[in-house]
Amino acid sequence: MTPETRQVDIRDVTFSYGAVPALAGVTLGISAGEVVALLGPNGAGKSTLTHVMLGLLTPRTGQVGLFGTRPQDAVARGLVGAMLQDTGLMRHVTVRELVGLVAAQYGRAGLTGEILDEAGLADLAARRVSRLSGGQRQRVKFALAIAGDPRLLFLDEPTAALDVEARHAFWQDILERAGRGRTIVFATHYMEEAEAYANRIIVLQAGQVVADGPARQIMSRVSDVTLRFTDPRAREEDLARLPGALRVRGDPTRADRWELVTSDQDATLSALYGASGGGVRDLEISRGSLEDVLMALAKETGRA
Amino acid sequence: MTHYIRLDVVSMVRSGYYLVFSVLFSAGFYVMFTKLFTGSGWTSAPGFAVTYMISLAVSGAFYAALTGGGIRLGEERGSGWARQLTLTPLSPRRYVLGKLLSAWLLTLPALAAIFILGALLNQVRMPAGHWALVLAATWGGSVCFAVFGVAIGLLVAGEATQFACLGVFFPMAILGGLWFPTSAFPETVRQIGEYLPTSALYRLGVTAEQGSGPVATPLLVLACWTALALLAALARLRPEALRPSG
Repeated sequence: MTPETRQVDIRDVTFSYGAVPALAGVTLGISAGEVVALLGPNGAGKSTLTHVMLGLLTPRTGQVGLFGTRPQDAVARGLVGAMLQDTGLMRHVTVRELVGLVAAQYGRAGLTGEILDEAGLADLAARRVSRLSGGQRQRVKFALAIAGDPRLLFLDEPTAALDVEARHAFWQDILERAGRGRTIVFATHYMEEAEAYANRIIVLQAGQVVADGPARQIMSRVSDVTLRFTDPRAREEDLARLPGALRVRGDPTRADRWELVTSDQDATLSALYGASGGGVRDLEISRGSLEDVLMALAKETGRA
Repeated sequence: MTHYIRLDVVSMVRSGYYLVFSVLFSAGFYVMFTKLFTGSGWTSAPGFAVTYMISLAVSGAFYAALTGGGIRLGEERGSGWARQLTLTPLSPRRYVLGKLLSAWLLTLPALAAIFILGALLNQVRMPAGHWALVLAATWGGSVCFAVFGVAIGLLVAGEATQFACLGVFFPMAILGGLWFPTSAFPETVRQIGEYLPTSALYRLGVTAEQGSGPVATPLLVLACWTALALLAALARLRPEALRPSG
């Protein structure tokens, strides 16, 4: 990663709201074409970091650069688009007028129709903004963020108000943009979203980067998997001896239902099927939650 | 920026609030006191239809500017729309300048509505040159109100902006003598009232209508208030001023 291809360059940034620290020394660089998830629980500093990167908050210490200049200059050059939380919309205007207004700031007023199509708003173009549902408003905000076809797109909890179908269409569009070399930075507390759509995950906790790397690598570091299954012939002490098994728990309401946490699901599963003689039924496999990931990372880095 | 100003003005005209409180309110006052309650007292003075036309036009323009500059800006800062719009190549400074210009443009319909009522309803007549001068003076001077609006919109955010604007509008309109004669007020209050921008712009309008009269003092008063409001606005116009919590 050379400085020339770096679009975001953050060094030793700290920020606090009054006496409450929000960022405690963040350093990271993001290059052209990356799709980066800022993953962390609520209050980890994701929104603050996004605001610092956009120049909306001035860090207490450290440097922030976008495209080699100040964030404000990159924004002024039309290189950046953003979809933030708590964004109201202008009143007494239609969807087309609003999207057209923002497109015009990037010199793209003539492309308003295409932008509305991309955001799935073609049918709502003539509707007053005040008459939109929550999900429709979220799509309008997305349209505003992409109106300039920016090289760098920031999305803070972008799918919060979207239903499953809209979520799918949203990520399809994001991936298409990434395919054209656009850089995407999105904040989320959904681990599944980070894993499915990002090629790099930056995990934030208490204002610090606790993990930063390719999505696969980050997720594989948290290898604990929970297996739930029915087996009338299994005994707790046998299950606990299976390779990789960390914990076993019986279901208090059903004697034949088990919950087993493993650090090596392949070894555990192959031994389980070999040992049980075909008694295993209704197997469910679930990954750890974001909290589990954070705990595992904290254990690794020695920060509890 | 012209695209933004145009849509801003259009959306304000569409909102009922602007038309009701900046145009219909002063129009209603004007009709009431020049057509309905004209029997005696201050409303029966000679030339009242002309002077009251100018004072209520100034009143409407003042509130139009506070609505377009102040309430609008405060709301948009509070809701986060100002932040969203200035994350485009439209810089925060140009966004605020645009608000100033749309607030100034929005004073025009408020002025024109009362002038048209005066001419049609009360047969106010003056040479075309004087009409032009009255409009130029009152609209030009309304720049002061537009700066006022923007300063309030930068100092206060969210729903509180409306109360702040009313808190500026009522005392300045009443003490400036825009609605009722100030002769009933104590002498000191009356004298202070003469140094308000509302009173200054009214006197400037009357001078324009009559073709001669005091110009220097009202202009100086307006300039001072404009400078004061401009300083307050500039002091608040920091990069983070457009954050919802800023």
